[in-house]
Amino acid sequence: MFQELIQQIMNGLVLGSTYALIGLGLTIIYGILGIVNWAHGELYMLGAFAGLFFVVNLHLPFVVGLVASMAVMAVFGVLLERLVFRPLRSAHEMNMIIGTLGISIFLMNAAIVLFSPNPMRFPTEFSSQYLSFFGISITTQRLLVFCVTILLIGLFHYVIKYTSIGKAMRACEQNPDAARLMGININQVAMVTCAIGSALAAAAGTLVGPVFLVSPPMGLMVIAKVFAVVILGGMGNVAGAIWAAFILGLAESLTAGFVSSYYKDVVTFVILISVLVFKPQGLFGKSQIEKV
Amino acid sequence: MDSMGKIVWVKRAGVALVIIFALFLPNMVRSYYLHIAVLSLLNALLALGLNCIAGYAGQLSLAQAAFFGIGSYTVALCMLNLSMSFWLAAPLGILLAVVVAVGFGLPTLRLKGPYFVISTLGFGEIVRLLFLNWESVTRGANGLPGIPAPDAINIGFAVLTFDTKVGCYYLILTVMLLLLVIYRNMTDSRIGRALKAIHSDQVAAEVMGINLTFYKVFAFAWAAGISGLAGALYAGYVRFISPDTFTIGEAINILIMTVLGGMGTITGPILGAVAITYLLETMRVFAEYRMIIYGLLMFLMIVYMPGGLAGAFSLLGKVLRRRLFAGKGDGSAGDTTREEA
Amino acid sequence: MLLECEQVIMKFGGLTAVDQVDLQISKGEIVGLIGPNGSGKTTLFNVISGVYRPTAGRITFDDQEIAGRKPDAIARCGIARTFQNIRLFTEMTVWDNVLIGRHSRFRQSVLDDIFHTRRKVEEEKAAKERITEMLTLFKMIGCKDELAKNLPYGLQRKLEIVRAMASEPGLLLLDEPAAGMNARETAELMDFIIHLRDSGTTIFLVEHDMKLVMNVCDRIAVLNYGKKIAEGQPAQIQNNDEVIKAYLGKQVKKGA
Repeated sequence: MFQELIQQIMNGLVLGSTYALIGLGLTIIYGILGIVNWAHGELYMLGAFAGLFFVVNLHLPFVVGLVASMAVMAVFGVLLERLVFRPLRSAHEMNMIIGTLGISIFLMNAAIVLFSPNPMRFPTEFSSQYLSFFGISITTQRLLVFCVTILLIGLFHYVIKYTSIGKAMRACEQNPDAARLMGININQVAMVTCAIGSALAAAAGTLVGPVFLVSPPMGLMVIAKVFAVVILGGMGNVAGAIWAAFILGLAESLTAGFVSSYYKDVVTFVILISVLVFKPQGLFGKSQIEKV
Repeated sequence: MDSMGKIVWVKRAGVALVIIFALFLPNMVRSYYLHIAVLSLLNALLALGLNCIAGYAGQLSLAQAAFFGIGSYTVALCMLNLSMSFWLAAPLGILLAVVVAVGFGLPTLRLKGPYFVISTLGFGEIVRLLFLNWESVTRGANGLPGIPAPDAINIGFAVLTFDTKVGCYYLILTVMLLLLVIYRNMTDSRIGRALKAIHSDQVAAEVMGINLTFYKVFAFAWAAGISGLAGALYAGYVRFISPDTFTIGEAINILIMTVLGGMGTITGPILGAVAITYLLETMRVFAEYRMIIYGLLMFLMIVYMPGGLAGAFSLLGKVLRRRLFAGKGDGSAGDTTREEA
Repeated sequence: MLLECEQVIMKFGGLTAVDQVDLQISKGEIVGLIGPNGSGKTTLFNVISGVYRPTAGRITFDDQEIAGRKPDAIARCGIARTFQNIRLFTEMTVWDNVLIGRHSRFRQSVLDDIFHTRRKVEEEKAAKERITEMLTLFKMIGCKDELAKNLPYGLQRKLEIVRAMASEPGLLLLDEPAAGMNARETAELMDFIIHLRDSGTTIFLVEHDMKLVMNVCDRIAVLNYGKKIAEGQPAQIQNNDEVIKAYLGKQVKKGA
């Protein structure tokens, strides 16, 4: 029983890591660019396919493949910003969701046509290694997911807090008009934000691809939950997103293990709706008085 | 008659032509195409529902498929288990959809846009999982087969039966036409204006005396009611329902129809539903290719042509109008921006 | 007494934007509210019109308690307003903007609308007549079918006022109506405001343009850091040391 608990907690941490990496990108794109990016799940999916390509087709070591996939998707993210987000910047919030949802559908079906409609396996040098203790075993790959996530979050924190581009990003998030007046290049900040967001999502895809399977609908399957995570943490709130990611990841695993695997998908939404009814700005979101 | 008057008559003639065409459709096409026509009408209802909450009030909802399901399952269960007549079960289904919508909408419609969307998505999933897992009532994934057709109606000089495709077609067409009248009354009135104001600027709308909660919940309930109606008719027509009809994917399909057809108008959703249903049914093989195009179109349209297909036709109409009636010098080049019926 | 604010306080977290403000406005007055930027003028407007719920205090309008009520309820009581940054319904025509302004004066119910009853038809007809009257009176009937976003700036500001007037309010709150206007437009605005008052609307306005305020207002109240520091007739306010200090930050010799 105790072992089962630890097992589920570890699963929860892996799940939480996935949500954290994807959610982090989603929340900064909203916080800094004001864009609700429904296509973010596809960045995760494309990252998984990129990782698959580099590691399985090109036989590169996993870590190299991870970095390569992050780099490729960072470029893709910049493209996305230029072609999709910039025209949407001044749109009505609902239109933003519809527009990016359209791109999401486009990318997913393009992936089906270009890659494969069937799920693909993504074996790495870590997939068959196990770590065992106290009767619990975990694959090295899963451990890697969690560890790399913590590393990336730390790296992200460093960039945001100590680099000049990070400061520019924070300025844009607080007050884009003031930032522009201070000489900050909004477009450059936008590009960097999208590059970082995409790279993080791609990292999640490459890390988690080997754990489950890689398939075009995988983005679609997580995006709703990632939105739930980001909203629970308060959209635009980085720390909130990370906390919420792990809370919901653990809730989902524990429900799957101890209640029923049918309802694991639903528990996320039940928690979310319950919280929103009482705290409309999310668990950690600040209640913003709209300037009138 | 001035040129504006002429326009109104052209539009009315157009609408009359479409209705006549619709009335004679069963005589003109094979059974397969009649089936597509029925599905188009049902999808048009769903699109009109979504249009009300999203196109008018400006709140995207992905819960329409769930209300579609509530309508269907209520009718199916009432007819199968309680031996209720369709004519009683259907209003019950609609009522249930509306009640659930009000219950869900009251606390959630005050949330910010994206928060509300995800809540509706969650709601949709919860409802679908309910249909799937409450096996004692819904028979889960096996679905509910053998739903009886709506009872025949005796109107004196004839008996209308609904156990045939043709019968159902006329039933659904009639319901649609009646609904369009009420729908039009709603959008072309103080309610419609209030919703558009809310869409445009909530704060300003509220300060003008518009009760945000009331109108938003109204629009949401209206959308749910129409979707429930579609669900009831669907159950009576197809006579077999299962949970995998009422998915988020279906909700997104409805969104695609509404967006491509043109949100915020009455003709838009109908156009979109008819076009997409026809393509969906006749080009099943190319599903992914179609979706690639729809996805891209949805993005391009929302950015560059938010009026959708209907908006494009409207623009075309204005250009034609200018060409045809320009020489009259009646100064009516100042176009109104009110939508066509 | 049309409007009375008693010890109104508005706090946002640690910041007190409106600090124990007392204010009274009688029917038929034009009262001005001035003060340096950030002194709480627009916040006070937001509290009166219901956009913000006051932290403390009472606000009475026409013998009704309105503090903390929702904006739409307050609008129905008879208070209308314009915004500092114009908030028109940009994609709608002038006509539609004004028609929506009249929302609270319609007397039909939702059912009347859906079933297109006689009552609805009558109300809509009456509204149409009234709006036509208003637009003609305010010389905007010519552009009634123009989209709000296509109007020149001065006309947009005017439209916002006309839209607010469509509900025939007892009290009209104008938030910086002259912002961005040139001298000619401001002069027209001054006449317009006086005309509105003479037709029976009490006006409470926030403004930075001193020429307009001094010439149009019967009384002026001055806010600084959320507190009311002076109140009186234009001549008194002009010579008030506290007021001068608030704007310039130091003592200024009279006549200097």
